[in-house]
Amino acid sequence: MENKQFRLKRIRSQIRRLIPVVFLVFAIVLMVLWQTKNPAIVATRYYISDKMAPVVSALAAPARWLKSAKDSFFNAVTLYHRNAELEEENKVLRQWRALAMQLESEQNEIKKLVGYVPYPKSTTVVARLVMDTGDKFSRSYVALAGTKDGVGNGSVAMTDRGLFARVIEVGDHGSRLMMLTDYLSRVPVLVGKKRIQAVLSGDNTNRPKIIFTEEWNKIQPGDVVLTSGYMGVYPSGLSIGVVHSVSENDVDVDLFESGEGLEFVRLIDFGLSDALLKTDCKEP
Amino acid sequence: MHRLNMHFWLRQMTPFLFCLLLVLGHLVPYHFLPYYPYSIQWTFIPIFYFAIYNPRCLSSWAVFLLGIISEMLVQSPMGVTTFCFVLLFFMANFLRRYLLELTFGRLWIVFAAMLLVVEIINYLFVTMMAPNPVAFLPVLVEFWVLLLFYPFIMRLCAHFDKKVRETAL
Repeated sequence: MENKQFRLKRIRSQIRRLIPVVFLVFAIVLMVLWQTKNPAIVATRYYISDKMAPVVSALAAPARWLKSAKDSFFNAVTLYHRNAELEEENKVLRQWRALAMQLESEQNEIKKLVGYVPYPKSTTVVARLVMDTGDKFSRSYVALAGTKDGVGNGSVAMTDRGLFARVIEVGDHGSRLMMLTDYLSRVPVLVGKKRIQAVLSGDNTNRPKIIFTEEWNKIQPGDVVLTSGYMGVYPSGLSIGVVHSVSENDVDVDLFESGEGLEFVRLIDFGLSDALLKTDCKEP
Repeated sequence: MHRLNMHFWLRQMTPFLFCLLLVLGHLVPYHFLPYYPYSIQWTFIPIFYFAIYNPRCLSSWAVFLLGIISEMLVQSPMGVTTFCFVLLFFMANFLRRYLLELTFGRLWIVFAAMLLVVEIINYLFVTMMAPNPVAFLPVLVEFWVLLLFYPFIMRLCAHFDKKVRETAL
């Protein structure tokens, strides 16, 4: 009798040790459901992420304070040199401003002549980045602005330097931004003065790659990369970066805006969410 | 009496809450390493610790729940992080009897071996789901950073474990 009880206890203990195997199977089921884009899982995930944004924002307060203290300190130390640099830069920029104004007036004249139809009016929202929802494989942020603030699915995230992300999910108070460096990111682009059509593909490094072009040998380091507007997912002419290096079938791009250390972004809705649905480019 | 119970449960929940804090800390948009834009998954270390020393306080379902919470919040494919958390827990818990007898240094080596297995599986799953190859460097960096900080986080876990055991007594 005692022996039987002992054996039962041992079996129970063995079963208890194997419970994690059941959870491993659950995790695999979850992966399959995710791959098949199960709507319930996608919706639940976004709902939780949307609700957690203010909590994480509060958690990030000490880090924000530390960063601002560090920035203030370094700014004070380098103030004199920065001022001299900015004065030099300002001289150059004034010359560029005059040229830009001249080109703008010429461009307006040409647009009138050819009957150019502009993009629909865009709406801009400035939002704080509150959550880094990336990990070692994906690169994404959550911004504290949602549909109630006028952000739409497919809005682009920019700074004064250039494009760096796109809104892939939008909730009431928050929106998830997928960075150009994320491994799922694809952006139709034009490269250099020859305006070579290609696709900029994120691979989770800081330098996304140019893919889908047969003219890679015409691309030079230093060529500017802009959005092409092809497929209607991104508007055309948004600045992205410059070509860093070119080797056979491998063109690396340095982004103007890496997104590192950013606190605020401009979310611009060009009204292209319909294009996203039509081209089936919506991310999970 | 009610306050005493509350206190007891809070202490018992400490390992889970600590792991949860690490999961949420993962989302703070300021990175630990300068010039390194990826977050580090610190939760692996407490999972390893509690799987060996106090699996009742951080059981497999709690580890599963932590994985789910983490994945609900981050952009990576669902199920992968959960799988890795549970796999690490399972491996450490399965070999618990042998691991309990090891010295700190040897346990560190075992952790390195198990973490390497988990990180490689994690990478393979993500690569299978991704349309093109994903960079391996962040995996290596996370592996080395976790190994480097292993003694500090283990000590913190041991402190929490001691407090939990004191309450249990």
